[in-house]
Amino acid sequence: MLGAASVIALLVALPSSGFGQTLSASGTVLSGMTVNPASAQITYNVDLAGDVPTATYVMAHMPDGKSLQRNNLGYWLPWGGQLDTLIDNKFVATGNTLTFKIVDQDIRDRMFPIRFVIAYRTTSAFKFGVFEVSPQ
Amino acid sequence: MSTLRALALFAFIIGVAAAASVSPQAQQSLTAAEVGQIIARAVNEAQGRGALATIAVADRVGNVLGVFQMTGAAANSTISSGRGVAGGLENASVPSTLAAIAKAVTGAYLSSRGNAFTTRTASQIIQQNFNVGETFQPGGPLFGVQFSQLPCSDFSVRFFDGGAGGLVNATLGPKRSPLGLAADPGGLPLYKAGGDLVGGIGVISDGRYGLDPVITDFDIDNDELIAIAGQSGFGPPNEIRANFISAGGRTLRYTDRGPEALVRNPATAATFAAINGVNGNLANVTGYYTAAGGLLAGQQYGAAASGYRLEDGTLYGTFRNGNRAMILVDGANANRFPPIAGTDGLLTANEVTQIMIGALTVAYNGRAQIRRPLSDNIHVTISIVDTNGRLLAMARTFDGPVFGTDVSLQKARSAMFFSNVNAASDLTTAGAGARVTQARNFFGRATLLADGIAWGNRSIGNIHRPFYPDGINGNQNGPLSNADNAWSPFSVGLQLELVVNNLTTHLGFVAGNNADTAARCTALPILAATGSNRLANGLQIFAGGVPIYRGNTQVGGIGISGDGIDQDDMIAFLGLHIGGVNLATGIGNAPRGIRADNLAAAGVRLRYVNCPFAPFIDSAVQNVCAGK
Repeated sequence: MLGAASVIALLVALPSSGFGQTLSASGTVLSGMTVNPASAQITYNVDLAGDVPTATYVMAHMPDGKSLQRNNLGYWLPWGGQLDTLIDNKFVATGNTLTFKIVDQDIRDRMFPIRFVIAYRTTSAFKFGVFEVSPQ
Repeated sequence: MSTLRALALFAFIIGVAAAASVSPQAQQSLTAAEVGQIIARAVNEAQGRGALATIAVADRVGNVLGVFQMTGAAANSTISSGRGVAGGLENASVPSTLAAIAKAVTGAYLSSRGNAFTTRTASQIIQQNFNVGETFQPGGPLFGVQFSQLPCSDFSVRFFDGGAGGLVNATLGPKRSPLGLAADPGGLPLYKAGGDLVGGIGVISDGRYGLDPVITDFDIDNDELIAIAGQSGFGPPNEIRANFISAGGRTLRYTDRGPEALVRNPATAATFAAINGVNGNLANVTGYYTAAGGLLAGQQYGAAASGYRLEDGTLYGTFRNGNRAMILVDGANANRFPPIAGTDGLLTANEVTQIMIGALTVAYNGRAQIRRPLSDNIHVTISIVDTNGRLLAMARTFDGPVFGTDVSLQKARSAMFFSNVNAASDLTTAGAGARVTQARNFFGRATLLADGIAWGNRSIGNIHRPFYPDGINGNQNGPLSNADNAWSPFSVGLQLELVVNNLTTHLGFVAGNNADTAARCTALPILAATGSNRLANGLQIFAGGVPIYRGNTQVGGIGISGDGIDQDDMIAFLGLHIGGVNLATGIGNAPRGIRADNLAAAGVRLRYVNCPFAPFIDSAVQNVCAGK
């Protein structure tokens, strides 16, 4: 059952991770990161390696049992795990780099580590990667 | 069994008369001062023995409340079964602080208000024969449980340094254990007056993290006696100690010696304030305990801050004697794992709910095996997963031992995984292709683990023992197990092979060398639907789980842990059956024609489940699993 959406903060210039890493159809294990839970600022850059995304997605799985997905307005919604219900976040690539804007808010009320999945579709594939976020 | 008979059974077992049993009640907890007293008494005994010990205290849900290292205590301990085996974790050097924590957590996790077990009890129930040394007897009933509560578990809660008071993780359990469950003597449960389990103490002083390979003697074990001294004033009621509980016709072992063997009177011990900084210090343990925070108070089991509380009855209703289910909650006191639909679209939330109710009904009406009083109902944790390994619901009876929380999920996933047509390819991707080949050759079945055979956890265990069939000394090993001359509880075969890299990474993290292991055990393929794999808290290889089917289609798995393995099997199998009958949507156990007990190797058929003969309190119903 879907619950109420929660609003995330405005995005600001964010420290990021992931330069040089690519997503894959089998799932890439991406480098993890640590954040200050009181003001968590998370973006992730990936190398498209020539791919042309037609849609981009962000999901989160938490130890408190919840799975969420981010929509293009930055809202987090409960997500049931079906790929065909994912909402396009409409991130735009800069050259061969795609930046996923993920979180900019206080997340001290969440259990850690949080497992994020970032993904994109091309005309022929669904590629994704997974990384974990732990508190500093 | 016909629908009418199934419904009649269901109605009967929910209508039985009430009988005496442990009741849910407000639980007590350890104060920080009491933690200090426990440590001080242990140090006192260690001094009397000329031993230099590392001592840890944990609460019932695994929060580490204090780690004290006596000056000069060995910084590291060596893992050794004494079987002369190399490989696996044998001869690995681990920090003594981790060994002590694992023992404390084990003492707490294996116990409950109805049973008091120790790490010596654990040693007895995980070895290649039960009892060890008795040839031609099956392996221990909880064979493989040592590789649970793993540091890589996606389910167990993590402690983050500096997080005490700052993060919701700080108090919630169940916490992970750095080395899984321990079998080295020196881990005991802690109780308060009235029989409330409040935690565990773990001691290591001899530099060896092993087990008891000879059960026919009564050791004078420094670790165990130091722990007994620390436990003074916090011991369990006599009647629930392991030596009053039997399994498989054998009495379990609590400790080899008692307080009469102490060399000092615990009541004469100095205070913690007097020894702290003098005879030793609190020790930082990355990922488990921050010394700067001092001694901590334990969480009250059953209060929301512990991560466990009773459900209010609106979700699962009430059961025998008006009992309600217990659920796991997050920092906001919300149910972490309410029933949800499968990520694969194969189970609805209502179906998950009804299966859970069926299992809880069987548990609350079933007669417990490994607890007292004899008339008490079974206390377990129940997990239901989808075919991606996603946890769809978790609930428990109120006094289930905490270890069963993680293990029930392991069992549900393991039964689901082995029954999944992707099992062989997933294992091959994870580097276990040789084990797949061995298993296929063993059965002469080229499509094994890709052919839709339904595996119960008991079936998996049948082929993950150093002898096949189990316990027949001298026979060849099951294909997932190491051979006997290469086997020990620290070098078991596939179960450890899948997670050894996670454990190694975690040890490096504790040492400050690298980042922690991901909260995702094994290197099985990652699924986009979950961001994880199908065995993300590890494989489990003893009975208590079955796959869930809708007709001939696998739709998930159910796992049970907390009581005897026959009881666990019954709750999974019969609970699923009852839920399916009530749903009338085709949900139920695997069709008989595809169950693993149709497979035979070396002339011996595998087992699917084994249920107790006359399992219900105040009922004469027998053979409740037959024909289903």
